Amino acid sequence: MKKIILSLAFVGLISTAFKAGSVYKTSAGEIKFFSHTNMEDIDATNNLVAAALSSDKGAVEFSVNVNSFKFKKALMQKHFQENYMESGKYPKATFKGTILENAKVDYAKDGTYAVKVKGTFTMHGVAKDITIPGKIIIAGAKATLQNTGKDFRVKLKDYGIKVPAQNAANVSEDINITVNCALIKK
Amino acid sequence: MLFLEITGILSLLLTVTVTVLLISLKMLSTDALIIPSLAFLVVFVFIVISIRYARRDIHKIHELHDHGFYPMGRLLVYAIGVAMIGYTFFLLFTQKDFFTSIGSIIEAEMILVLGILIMYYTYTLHYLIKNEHLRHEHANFFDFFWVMIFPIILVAGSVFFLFSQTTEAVVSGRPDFEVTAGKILAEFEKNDSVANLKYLNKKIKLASHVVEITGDSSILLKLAGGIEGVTINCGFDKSQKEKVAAIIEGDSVVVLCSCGGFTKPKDAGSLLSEKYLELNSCNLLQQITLKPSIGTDIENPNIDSGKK
Repeated sequence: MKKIILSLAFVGLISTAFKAGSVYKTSAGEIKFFSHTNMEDIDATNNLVAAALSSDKGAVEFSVNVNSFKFKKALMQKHFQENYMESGKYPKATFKGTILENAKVDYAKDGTYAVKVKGTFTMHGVAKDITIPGKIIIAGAKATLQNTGKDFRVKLKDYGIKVPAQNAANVSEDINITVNCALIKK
Repeated sequence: MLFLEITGILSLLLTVTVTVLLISLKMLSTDALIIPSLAFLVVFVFIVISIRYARRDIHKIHELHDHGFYPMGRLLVYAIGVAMIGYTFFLLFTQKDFFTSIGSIIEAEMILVLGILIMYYTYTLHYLIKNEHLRHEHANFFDFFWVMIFPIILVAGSVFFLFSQTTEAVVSGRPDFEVTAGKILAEFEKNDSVANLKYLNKKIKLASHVVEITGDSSILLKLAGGIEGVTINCGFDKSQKEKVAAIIEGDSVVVLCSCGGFTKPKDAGSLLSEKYLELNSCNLLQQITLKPSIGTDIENPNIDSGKK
């Protein structure tokens, strides 16, 4: 009887620990954005994205320093940071949300899970509720959050970002954002 | 029509168009226009007075020489022209990283073009007055070159240069600030808005020891900041993989990076609980195994904050 009680207590402890879940984190995730017009294709990459995921509730957070986006052309980078994103005034873009189908993601088993993430995306001082389709790839202690640029399109005017008339032909009104962040269990 | 008038109007239109375009693209600060505008105003007044007086009575042009304002004004205008051309070279040789600063290039170009135009117009006007006619019937190639071709080549060349300039994957050149890790973090901790204004996108050189090496698409070294729970995250481009491959946790490094900004948790319940200063496009300058006391510069122990 004593053994049974001890076994049950052990199972209870294990399941409590499992429910508490794990936190996955990175400070070196990658976010890219892409703008296409007939005049010019513009792409930029940020390899210093901070991201975190809590496996129990499926909570996710992203934080991006706008100044760490790297462009191919220096002048475009300067325009992006200073004129469009006004990085001195709004230095960060953030996302805070929840994985809608978190229950179907088995964090203990390697695999790829298609999910949708719903939350608040804040950029240029404007917050909007959005839902992004993507996937979680579990590989050991690593959980990689990915989406395709086609799934995550942002209208610049929705976030109060104004592109001067002279540059309107070069910068698209809709920007595709691609996330690829490999988070490590902490 | 007078050669001076037609080329003068064209030069003026060209200058105004380029200036308005640059200001509307936010590539030029209106502050940069103060010196050229003042010089231009003086020269404009001088030329207008000279032409107006001379045209009033074409037979008395030579009398201009006897008027006090003309020889004195001419010398003043020459001096302004020389000063403007000289100022361009002053900017070129004294301003740090002149060729990477778009604003500096444009300001210097405008001053140079206006300086040359001032010298040219004053000389041509003097030549015409001396020969007692205001019709420049023998305008040669050099007249057109200095007034029209040179400014157009300069503007077109610099526009091409600016638009084709690529970004650096690795920061190089002289640092804007050489600081200790503890000092810069203390400034961001105290007031990150003020520190952002000072350091954002500036080249920072600092030394500390590595507490964590991470990264996937790029390489990230977390350096000790001398403040509990705060690190300095140095991002290296993947092209630097070989250079930083030998670094292990505990090593001391000297890095030159661009400042990306300070990150701190938004609220108490945030999953992103780390507090750190983000530096990007880092360049590993030195790697040593000796572990210094946090915040001490490896190359120069006397290193302190303060703009270089």
